Amino acid sequence: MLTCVRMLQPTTLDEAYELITTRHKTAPLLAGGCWLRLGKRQWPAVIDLTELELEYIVKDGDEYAIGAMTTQRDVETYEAFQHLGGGILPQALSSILGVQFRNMATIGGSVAGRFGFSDIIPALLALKADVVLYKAGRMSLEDYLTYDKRDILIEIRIKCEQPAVALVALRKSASDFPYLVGAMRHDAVGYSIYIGGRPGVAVKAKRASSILTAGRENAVAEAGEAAAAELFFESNSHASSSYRQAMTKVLIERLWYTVTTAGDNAGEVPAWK
Amino acid sequence: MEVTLTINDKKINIDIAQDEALLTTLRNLGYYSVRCGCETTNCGLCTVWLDGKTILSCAYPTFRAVGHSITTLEGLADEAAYLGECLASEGADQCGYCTTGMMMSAMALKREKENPTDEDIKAFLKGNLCRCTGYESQLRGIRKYLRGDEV
Amino acid sequence: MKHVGKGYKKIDSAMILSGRAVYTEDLVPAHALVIKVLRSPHAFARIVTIDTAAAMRVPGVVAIYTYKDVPQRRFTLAGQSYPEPSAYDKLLLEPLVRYVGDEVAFVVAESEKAAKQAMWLIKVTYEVLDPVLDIHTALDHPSVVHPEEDLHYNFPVGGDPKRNLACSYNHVVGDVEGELAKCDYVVEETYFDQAASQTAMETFRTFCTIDQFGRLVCTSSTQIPFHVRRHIAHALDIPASKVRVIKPRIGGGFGSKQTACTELICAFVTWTLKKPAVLILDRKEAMNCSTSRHAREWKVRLGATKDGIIQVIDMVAISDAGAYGTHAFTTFTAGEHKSVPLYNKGKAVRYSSNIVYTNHMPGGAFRGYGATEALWPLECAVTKLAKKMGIDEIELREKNLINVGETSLVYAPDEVLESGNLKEAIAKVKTMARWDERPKSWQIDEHHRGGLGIALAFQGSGIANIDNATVEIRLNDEGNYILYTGSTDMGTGSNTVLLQMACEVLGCPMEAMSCYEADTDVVPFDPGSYASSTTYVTGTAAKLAAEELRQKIMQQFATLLETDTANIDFDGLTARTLDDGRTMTTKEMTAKLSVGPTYGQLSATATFGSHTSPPPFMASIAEVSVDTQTGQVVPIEFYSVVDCGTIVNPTLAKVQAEGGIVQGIGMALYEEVRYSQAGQLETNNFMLYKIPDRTDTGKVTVDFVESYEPTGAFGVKSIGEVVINTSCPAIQGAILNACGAEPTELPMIPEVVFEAMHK
Repeated sequence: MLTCVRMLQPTTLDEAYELITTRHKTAPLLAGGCWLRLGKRQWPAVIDLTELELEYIVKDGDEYAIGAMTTQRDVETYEAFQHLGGGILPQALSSILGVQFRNMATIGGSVAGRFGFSDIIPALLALKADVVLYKAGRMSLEDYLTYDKRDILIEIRIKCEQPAVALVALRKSASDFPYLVGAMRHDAVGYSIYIGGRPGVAVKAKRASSILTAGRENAVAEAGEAAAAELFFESNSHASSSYRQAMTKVLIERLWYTVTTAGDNAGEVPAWK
Repeated sequence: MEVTLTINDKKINIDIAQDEALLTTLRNLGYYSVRCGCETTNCGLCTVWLDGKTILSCAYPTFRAVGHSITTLEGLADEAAYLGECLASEGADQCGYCTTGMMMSAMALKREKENPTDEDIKAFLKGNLCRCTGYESQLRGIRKYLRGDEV
Repeated sequence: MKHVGKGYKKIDSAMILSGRAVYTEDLVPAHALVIKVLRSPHAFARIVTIDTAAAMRVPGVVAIYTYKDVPQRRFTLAGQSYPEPSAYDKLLLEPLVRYVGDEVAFVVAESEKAAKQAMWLIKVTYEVLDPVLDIHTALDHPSVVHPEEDLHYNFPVGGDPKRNLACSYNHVVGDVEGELAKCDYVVEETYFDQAASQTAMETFRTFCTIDQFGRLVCTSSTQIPFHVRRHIAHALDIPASKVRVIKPRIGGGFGSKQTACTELICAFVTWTLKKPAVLILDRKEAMNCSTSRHAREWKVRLGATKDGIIQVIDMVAISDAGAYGTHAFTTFTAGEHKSVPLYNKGKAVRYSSNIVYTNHMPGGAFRGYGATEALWPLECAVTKLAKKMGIDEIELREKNLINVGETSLVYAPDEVLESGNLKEAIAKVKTMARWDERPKSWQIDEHHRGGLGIALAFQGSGIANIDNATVEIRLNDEGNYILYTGSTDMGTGSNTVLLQMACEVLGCPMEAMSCYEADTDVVPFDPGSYASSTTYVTGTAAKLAAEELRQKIMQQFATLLETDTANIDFDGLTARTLDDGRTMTTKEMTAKLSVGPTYGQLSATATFGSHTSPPPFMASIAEVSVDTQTGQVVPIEFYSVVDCGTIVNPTLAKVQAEGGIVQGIGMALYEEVRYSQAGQLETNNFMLYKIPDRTDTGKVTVDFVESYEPTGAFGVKSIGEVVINTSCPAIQGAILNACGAEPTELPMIPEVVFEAMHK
């Protein structure tokens, strides 16, 4: 249950940034409220972001800009995203709990949470998304995942034109977090593979990506082996590290299959659950 | 803090704690169709509408609802009674504890999607857990409701 | 028949679906004090000091109770008829805490906020003890979970608490080893089930008040109002005449509310303070500090001769009672009677378990009550045996199946199976699943294989020679009826079913009879709704009461119309003389009965208890898809045919079956129970304990074959529990057929199946 002594509602980004970096350096930011509900502790102050007008999706030149306070459901149902990257965003979002959860949870909260089990982070990585922060400005999502300064996430930006991308999540039941989730991008530079839920947040499997890009015989199997070896896996409530390693090979095979057949059946990612 | 809420088209002035969840506010006001089933945003028992969209009132701070329109099952009396009849005709009410929250989702679905398939229904109602029915009878009842069958 | 066999909607539908105040929490009086429970963070520890001074200073805190403040009379929370077979091994609070979540102190405050704040300020120092967390080493472990001298058994159940043995059961018929040696085929396997959680959507909750006569009134979400009254009177040492227990509508039970998790605490607070108080467990407490199914590790051996006869059934378990022995003995023994008799052609049976105390959450009652646990290993082993013998797994079952009129090695001396349409049920489910027309194993696509699996199940209907229910029906002064029952409709529609049976006898429309249930001051005794008893035991009592009342009404009409009963046709509301067509309604009659010195109100009370517990039967075939790379199992369709005797309400019976099957699918595939190394239950919320959502279940297809049980009203048996018993073994059999993997532990999550595939 979210409990706090004071609920602060800044109305401008300047004011919000001032609050989080001076008087309330540890106060949590309240976006959709879904994760704060899980906590037990009583916060001295919570900073509510609703008044910052960050709820929008707009096409800006060759990019989409998604305000951080846009709900998951609004992103999921946004017309243009049904086809962008084969519908990878609706695919990633529609598996998260129920509609009433996604009507509250925000895209900014999902990204800023940097949850290992996130479906949306690997999907955005495959789309080469950038984030815009109040202080640090624009940076790639990949960089943001290791950026540790207190800042305010304003929006996420995605290119309108996307190459073939794919997302595969392995979960034990439909409403569960994935125990392994991966995404792949195939563009002019080559293949990029991102694996999350190890249980750490999604990172690029660099060696596996270059093996796949080099494209020798057995590249897919080798990439799987490489990813299982180069990434850090742990056991937790959802799977053991050895099972996760074994499944990483399966994941890469399936991602590759989906990416290479993306032209044939765009948007129809096989339902592996 | 003193706020004005719009619940089922009625304006209500009340005093709330600033960290109060909408679920608590609504139950304190006697909207008993809204219930708490978990602390982890998984069960959907507390589902209400905010500006016509389903939300989990357990995780929604009441102060944020100011300026928005809240709808509970009590505010959809006739339609809810008909949906209830459809469900009851299939024995899908069972203990009833999760049913009212599920009904809020079903009624939202009708407004959001024309002629939904069984798969659409399941996907839209995935966030409403039920431990009694095994879901099949709920699906039968919802189909009747969406078709407007006589019950 | 007029009412029996009709798919009426539940009589409480409109109310429970309208948001009206019908559940316990909706009815809590304003200003009731809020109780919160401070719980142990340790699996096993002794409280050295407990300081409540700072907590008491929190504004709004009314009282804090510790072990120094509570009655010292041990009891059980298990809802069972007296003398309970569960050990009296619990106090409201004591200095020894036995699992993570065990009660340490009760905080009573004017608001939840104050109570929670105070909880943080109670200072407890613990001497942390070495916990007993492994059933294999629990017996004679250096740590004794129940060292107290005043632990009490009402009668011997094979317990030895000083050895951590809560109870034990060892039933051997025939020469197990000798017969096994003669068998041509023997299979042996170890199976593990889980301490699965019932997770009724409404968590445990109780409020208590003091009435105008100074008596304690306990309103609670319970399946067992009469047992709760007895427990309160015993544990608090107050006369039972001073206690009243009421059950409003409740949000599911599944056996969990056959254990009094909140009632005694709340009653203690209200009785001590003489003020209204309420205790509501949150989801985490409900899953962490109540009871679950008992975890058991089974070693099963089956032996068959080459003619296909199963000669030996040998089932030996270690069972986890957890920290308290609630339902520990009876869940195990009940499992025998509901599994082993399925196959009765053999010569020897052993059914045996040590049921050990550990520092886990206590086991308790969960739909299936031991049968689910026993049928999981038995049915898996029968399938394994069929594979070894190279014959169809249904053929092996049919060959060994008990027939009506036959006995079993584990039945009582004069006991036989009195009804059942077992073979027809199996034939029907085979047709539904097209068992004979398609392979049991097939390739779906590159990485998926399909499979079919079968399982059979029994259950009981009430507890033979123990359960008895009394029902009263009155003809009211306005000519309508009311039925009084102590059974507890937990959403199943049992109130509706009782009315259908009573109205069938009286002939009146359903609207002419109302139902008042589960208020110990008002209704006659009933043990409550558990053990699949309500339709069979209480329903038969309802029929008997209705028959007696009908007779009384007929006689009264005969007197008033000055004729004899043979000349009267009575449809439940109107009597008509056959010879001259005079009529009188019950309303006209009761107007006469309610005045003057001559007559009085008509009512009838009847009791039914049975010497037998007739088993309903279920045959199920699971169709699954197995991902051969990940081990993920997706249920495609679950076909079932149930024989529950005469079906009183086909709509509600079908939902019982569908709901039970899906609960079973959850147990089979999704619902993990995991403890940390320190003994903390980690899967204590819906985020980590995944009950199935509506996209997890596959299609569930249910049909029935009817039989006529001669001991039950209109030929009824039960339906509530048998329906959870086939999911686990049928799905396991389907996985085995699909990909050759044989998972032996529940739930069969991808990693478990993956490991089984690579074994």
